[in-house]
Parts: sequence; C-alpha cells; structure tokens
Amino acid sequence: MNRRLKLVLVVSMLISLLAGCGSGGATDTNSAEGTPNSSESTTSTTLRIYVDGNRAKDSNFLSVVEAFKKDTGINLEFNIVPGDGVEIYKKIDIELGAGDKSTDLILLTNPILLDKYAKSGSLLPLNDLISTEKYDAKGIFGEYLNEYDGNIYSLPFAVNKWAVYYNKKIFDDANVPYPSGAWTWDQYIETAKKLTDKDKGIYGSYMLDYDNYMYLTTRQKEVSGYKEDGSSNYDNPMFKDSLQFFGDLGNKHKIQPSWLEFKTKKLAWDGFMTGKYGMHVIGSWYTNMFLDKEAYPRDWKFGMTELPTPADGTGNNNIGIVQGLGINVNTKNPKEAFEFVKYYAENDYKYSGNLPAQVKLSAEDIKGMFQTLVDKLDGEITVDDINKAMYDNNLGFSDEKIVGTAASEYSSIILQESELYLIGEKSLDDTVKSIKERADQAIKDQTSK
Amino acid sequence: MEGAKEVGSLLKTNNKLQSKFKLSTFLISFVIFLMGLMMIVPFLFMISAAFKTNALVFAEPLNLIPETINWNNFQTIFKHDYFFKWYGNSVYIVILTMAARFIVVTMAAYAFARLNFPFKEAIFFLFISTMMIPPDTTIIARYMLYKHLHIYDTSWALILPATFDVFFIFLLRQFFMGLPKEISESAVVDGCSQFKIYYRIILPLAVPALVTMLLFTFIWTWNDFVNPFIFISSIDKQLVTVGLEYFQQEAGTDYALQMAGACIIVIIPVILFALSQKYFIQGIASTGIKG
Amino acid sequence: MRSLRAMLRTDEARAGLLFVLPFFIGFLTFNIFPLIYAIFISFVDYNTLKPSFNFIGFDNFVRIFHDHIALSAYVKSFIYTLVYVPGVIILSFLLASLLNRKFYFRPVSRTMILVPYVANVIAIAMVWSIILDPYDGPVNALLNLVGIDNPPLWLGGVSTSLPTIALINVWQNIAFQTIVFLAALQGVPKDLYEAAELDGAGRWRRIKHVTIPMVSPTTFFLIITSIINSFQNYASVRSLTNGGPGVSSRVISLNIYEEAFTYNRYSYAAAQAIILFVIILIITIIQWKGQKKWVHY
Repeated sequence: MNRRLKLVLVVSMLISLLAGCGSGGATDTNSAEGTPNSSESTTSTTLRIYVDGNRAKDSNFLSVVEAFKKDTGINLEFNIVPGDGVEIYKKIDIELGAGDKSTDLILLTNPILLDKYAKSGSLLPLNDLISTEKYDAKGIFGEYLNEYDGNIYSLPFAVNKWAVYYNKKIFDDANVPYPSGAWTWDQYIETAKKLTDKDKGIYGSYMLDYDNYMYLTTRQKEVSGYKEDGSSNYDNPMFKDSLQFFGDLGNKHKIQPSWLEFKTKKLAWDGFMTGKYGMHVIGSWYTNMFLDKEAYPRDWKFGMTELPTPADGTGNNNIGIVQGLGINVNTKNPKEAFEFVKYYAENDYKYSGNLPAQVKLSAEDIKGMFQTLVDKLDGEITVDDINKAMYDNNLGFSDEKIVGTAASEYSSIILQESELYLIGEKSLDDTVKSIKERADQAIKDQTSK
Repeated sequence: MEGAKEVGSLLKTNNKLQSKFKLSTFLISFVIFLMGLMMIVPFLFMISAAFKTNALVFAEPLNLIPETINWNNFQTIFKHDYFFKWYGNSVYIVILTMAARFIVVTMAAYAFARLNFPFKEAIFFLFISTMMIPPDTTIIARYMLYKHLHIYDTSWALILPATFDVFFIFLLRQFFMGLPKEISESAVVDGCSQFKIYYRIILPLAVPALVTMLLFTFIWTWNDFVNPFIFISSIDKQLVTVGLEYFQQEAGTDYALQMAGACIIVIIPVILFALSQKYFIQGIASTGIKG
Repeated sequence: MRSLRAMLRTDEARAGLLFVLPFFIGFLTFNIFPLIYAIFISFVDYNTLKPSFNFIGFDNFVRIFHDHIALSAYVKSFIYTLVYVPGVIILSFLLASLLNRKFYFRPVSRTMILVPYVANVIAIAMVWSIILDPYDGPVNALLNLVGIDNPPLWLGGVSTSLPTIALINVWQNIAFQTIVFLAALQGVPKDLYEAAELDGAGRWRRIKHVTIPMVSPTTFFLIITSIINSFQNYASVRSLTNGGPGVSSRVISLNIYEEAFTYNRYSYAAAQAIILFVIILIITIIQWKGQKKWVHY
C-alpha cells in the first residue's frame, strides 16, 4: 500500500510539472507574437526587427526609428538578440529556418548574409512592392542595389568603404609627413618602415585576420572569386600575388605583426586603439571607435586617408561592403515592413554617420553629413579629410568580399589554407592550389543539391 | 552513535600519525599552497582586465594593476535595466533544476544500482547512449519540440530537459553500487520499504556523491550559454550569462566588459566550491559501516 | 523461503520500475526524441537554411568519406582523446589522493587548486597564450635557457596545437574528476587501510590493493564520460585556436558545429554526428564488456 502512495506522489509530481509547462506556454505565445500594447491604437501595425544589444541602445539608430514612427504611424519593436555581429545570426538562422513569423525585418550587415538568406528563400522579394508603388529603387541606389536573378531582396542603407587610419603622434615622433592623396602600396610599405620602431614596440602598420586581407589587392583589381563557369578563380595568379603581398608585410618587411605573432599573442581587433601602430587599414566603421573616449582613452590624434593602390595602376579601386535591410518572407505585414525598409535605406545616413549607399546625393549632402561627424569628433579631422578618403578621390568601388556560391565555405577555406602559407607551413603555390581545389569541391556540393 | 564514536577514534589515531611527521606535512602543505597560487592566475587576469579599458586588455596583459582603475565596466553592467533581473532568473532556474534533478535522478540511480527489474541493463545502456550524440546536433529538434510543448521562451525550456540528466544517474549509480549489499538486504528483512531504504539509508551514505552532483549541477546550469541563448528569446527572461552578451557589439568583443561580467558571474560558484570542501573529508560518509 | 524470495523479486521489480518511471517519461521526451530526429535528418537533404525532407538514403554518409577535412577531424578527435583522457584520469586521481590527506590550509588550498574550473574561457585562453607565447613567453624563454634552439610554437604550431589544447583542458577540467575521486575516496573504509598496514603494506601497495579497487566503479564512470566529453568538446578549441593553424586542431565536434551553424548543412552535420555516435558507442560497449575484469562493485 505504501508503494501505491508513492505512485500517486510520482504521478502528481509529473502532472504538476506538465501543468507548469502549459501555463508557461500561454504567456509565451503572447510575447512571441508581439501583440500590440493596450496603449497603442488598435489600427496601427507593430513591426519587429532583429537587432543586437548594442544597436538597441544606439542613440543614432533609435532616432531613425523614432522619426520613422512619427512620420508613418507604424510602430517598430526590437527583437534583441544577444551576442556580437556574427553570433546573433546563429539564432536568427534557426528562427528563419523554422519559418518563424514573429520578426519582420532583418538587417543584412554583410553581403554573405544577404546571399545566404536570399538564396534560401528566407527573404521576401521586393519587386512587386517596388512596381506597385512605382518606387525608383534603381534611380536612388544605382550600383549599390543587389539583385538575384532579377529579384531584389533588400535595399542598401549604408556602404562601408575602406581607408587608412593613422596615428599622428607616431608620424610626428618619427618625423614622417602625414600621408595624403593617391598612393601605392609600395609607398605604404616605405612609410610604415620609417614608422616601425621595434625598441619602442611600435609597428608602422596594423591589419587584422579577416579573409579579405588575403586577397585585398585582387579585389582592388575587381577580379572575381569565380570563373565564368562558376568554379573557383583562385588559380588566377593575382590571388597568389595578393596573398604573397599580405604575407610579406609581416614576414618580410616586418612592418606589422606577422600572422603567427598576431595569432599566438591573440592581438585584438581594436589593437590600433592602443596607440602602438602607425597606420591601420580597415573599413570606415572604425571612425566610430574614435568617438568612444571612455573605452578608448588616448593621448594622440588620428588622421585618415585613402586606401593605397597596386603600383601597376590596374587596381584603382577602394573596397567595401554594402549593408542592406530585408524582410522575412513569412511576414504578416509586407507593406508596412517595406515602408521601414525604404525609410531606413533613404535616411539612416542622416543619423548614423554611415556612408549612404545612394547615387543621387549631391556633394553638399555628403559634406553636410560629414560635418555632423566632424563636430562629434571635436574637429580632430576635417570634412575635407574624410571626404578625400571616402569620396573625393579617383578610386572606384569594388566589393571587399568574395560573394557567390558557397561563400561562407569559400571564406573559411581561404582562411584555413592561407594561414598555413603565412606561418610557413605550406608553399605559396600549394596553398592557392588547395584553395582552388577545396573551393571547387564546395561549389560543386552546393550546386549539385 | 556507534558510527560517530568510531569516526572519532579514527580521527584521533590519524592525528597521532600526523603529528609524527609534522615537518613533512608542513612541506606538503606549502607545496600544495604554491600549486593553488599558480592555479588562480587566470582569476587575477580576469579581475585585472575587468578594471581596464578594452584597448589595454590584450595590449598590456602583464600589467596586473592598471595605471588608472576603470570602474566603467562594472558601472555599465550594473546600470543595465535588466541586469539584476537576469541574475535573479539564473538563481531561480538553477535552484529549480537542482531540486528537480535531485529527486528524479537519485530515484532512478537507486533503482539501477540496487534493484532488479526487467531490461535493467538495456534501459541503462540506452540512457547512456544518448550522451553520445553531440548536443548541438539536436538543437533544431529541441527548438521545434519546445515550441510544440509551448515551453519555448519559458524557464521550463531550461529546467525540464536539464532535470532528466543521464550523466549524474551514471555517477550516482556507480556510488550506490559500491555500498555494501548487506545493508538493503537486512533492511528488507526488517520490513523497510524500498523508498525508506533509498531515503533513509542510501542517500545519507552517499553525501559526498550527492554534493558533487549538486555542486556541478549548479556550475553547469549557472554557466550554460547555448540553451538560454537559443531557447529564451525575451530579454526579461534571459539568464545572466547570455544577458551579458547584450553588451556586445557588431564589430568585435569588448573583453574588458566581458571580464567584468565574468567576475560577477563567477562569485557564487567560487563560494560554493569553497563551502563544498567540507563534504570531502574523511569520515563524512560510509566510515563506520562495515566494509 | 523460495516463494518469499520470488515475492521479493517481483516486489523489487515493481519498485524498480516505479523509481525509474519519472525519469523515463522525461527521458523519452527530452532525450530520445531529439536523438531520433537527428538520425532521421541524417537521411534527408536538409542542407540549406530552409527545411527540406527528401529522403536521400546514405548520401550524407557517403559524402563524409570523400571529405578529407571531416575524416581528418575524426582522427584529430581521436588523438585529442588519447592525450586528454589518460592525462585527466591519472592526474586527477593523484591530485585527489594528495588533497585527501591532512595538510594545513586545506580548505583554502583545495579551493584555489580546483577553482580554475569556473574561470572564464577567454581569461584562460588569454593566460595560456601569454604563458605559451613563442616569442617572449616564459616557457620558451626557459627552454631557450636550457639550450633548446627551436622551442615549439605551442598553440601556433601545426603539429603542437592539438596536444597543447588537450593539456590545457586537462589543467582546466581536472577539478571535476578530482572532486568525484575525492567523493569516492570518502567511501573507502578506513579499516581496510589499517588492515593493509598491519600486513606491512607500504603506501604504494595500499593504493594499489585498497584504493584503486575500491574506487574502480568511479574510475569506470570517469573514463567513460571523459571519453564521451572529449569527443564533444569544441568550446575550448574555439577560444584557443578555432581549429587552426589551418585545420590542424579542427576536431570533429568543431567541424560538426561549423557544418550546422555556419554552413547550415544540418543533415550533413547530423550524419557526421551519427558516425561519431557510433564510434563512441563502440568504444563504450568494449569498455562495458571489459569492466568485469577490473571494476569491483
């Protein structure tokens, strides 16, 4: 009989556990569907957008959103995903893959994300909305507008171009004039050599471990990562040259930490802010780093100038990425979501300091935009400096990444194999050969499905 | 009573032994203490990095005491609207998980260790085999399962799966099996129910093993990142480990802030480690019982 | 007498099932279902972000055998396990024996020794990258001093990265195994030692003939679970080398993680996981059969 009692006990425990799930579930559906608050008028739609924790607190982003709410009467809520810019997409992947409808808008902060979500059918094609509204997307965004087989899945809100940031104190100490105007990579190396001072622990140059440093000069020449037939183009000698060029900076010229040093010492993505490097080749998002004097207190001023070009004159391009905004294919509010996509793409630059991905802006518009940034930096650099580094130069524009079939694998393969060359474990020829072979396999696997 | 006396006399003889070799004990104590000092080096780095600016964390890692103490990291964290809520959520989930797991796991382990029932070995091996599939492989399955059970984005999505834990059944089974068979046999003859044997005899004899389970249940649940990251989506329901990730930005990790967060998170596990040590001392459990 | 035994046995069986029942129900839902799902998707073509459930037989499995990176990742996991498991088991047993004796400041010293277990992974990666820095780290400086000209690159070297990670993990994870051994040592009856001492057994013989057999059920548990965990651990690999240099420390669990969450090839990742599952299962079965020889319950 005693045992019977135990059974009752166990069963009741299980029931209470299950009951717990039931009640928990009820509250869950409420919050996930994003039911409008009682304070909102019942007619207005509420959209949701995936953002990371930092953006959710970013006053510039909040101002665009506020302005949008005011101008359109559409409400916008945040689905804040914890983690950095890469980590958050792991969660977004799972939700989109499961056909989640709760969040309407997806920021596509790099072209590989756009590629992945567009090709997997996770994004809503915007063509119908564009044509019914007679929206002049091509006129406004020109070359920055991305299309997949004639479908538009996103509008670009920013273009992130590259530049050289430099530490004026290190230049002054070494008695080297600040760089300005067009220059070649050879000149960059010469300058960096003059700045490098091993005894003081100062390197003339700093670069990170992104894949696109491995083929930077190739992209400047607008050489594609793919051949006409879709296979990898890594056997093109330019890729070999650009990898060798990058390796030499640390291993031969010794103007920046070698790859091995970078990795084993775990040098940081924000290392330039320590004031130990003369110049830093990086995207224009880096300007914001100088605004944050709390996290990065410094006793030196920075300057910026345009990206150097290959000496043979065949690669007069700056590189960069276009950032876009897309809509969840399962959205319940396509029209309203498109309203926000348009609004954000057209207006973000006015608030954020991002470079607009628009082709119709006048020189005055651009200068006005830079003025806001310069004011925030207390005049550390001039409008002219930024304008020359970004726009008012003879550089064209080309995508910084290799974007296309199996882009994420391609990128990993390049990093894995190039690393072996950079630490002297593999010859240059073997390295590019195995990149080509492995990338071809990845492309084949992807297309055969 | 008998047992306690015996333990007491054992400790006494032990002391006599020890006093003979006082010098060697002292030397060993010193060596162990030095080892301990070496082992806590990462903590010194954590604490030092927490008071630095991010730029200096990797630039001057050997400067354990930064020139200017930077309180900003802690301020940022403490000022966040949800920080204390997250901390509370973590405490709540951990305690519930510990309680639920304790009941369910000790019962099952008892049955596997000390009772005979059909297919016992087979069922046990089936249990163990589920540990062999990498948990990441099943994330999507679990995501859909929790949505269907309506426990997604609730604390149950973390508590329930953690309750049915094979790892500790295995651990406790091994411990329970090591206890002399004669105890239960004589108890059964005396008319004790199985529940009474489990509750009154076996559990008290396995205190060190139970403390081990509770300690590590606490640590693993407390430090868990993947599960709350995937299965909790509302910011106010999040746990403190994942919550700190809301401070991360697109471009790269703010290590100084992360270390400050790690310091705050790690306090409770460190205290528990220290407190639990008293349960791993000769005489706490089965001494005094016939071997 | 006989009928009493029989009754006891059925009673016992009923009680046994009852004790296991709560766990079993939850287990079916939360452990078995996801496992079955993983087996299921390894046979379909769910290899993009969008779910797709077309049955493709063993294609995902066949593909693994043409994938050099995946195949070598299995081998790397195996090597990792060969370094990690003996290291962690032997050292934790010695450490537990040491920490179990009487010494001064016992609570403080014990806590300090065991507490790296809860240290932040990034802090650990940071500390070890400083210690093992091939340029100006203390370890290589010492090796230089004793006349070794080409000291290893540790985490930065193609052949050294994997064993280095394994040893760092031994160092960090040892607290768990040590505490479990400590708990087991508490259950060794004192009088057994005393009897052995009376027989004139020295310290080593006492360990060999009393301690090791008495804690063998625990050792068995620790070996099996350490092997399972060593095949699944990728978090520390990610923070220490992220699989590099090249793919020299890319263990299978990291490969599976990347296949699933970077490339969204869920079916292919599941197939790799199933193969890993089978490998671990075989290893475990062999140990299970072998336990009769050395585990004393």
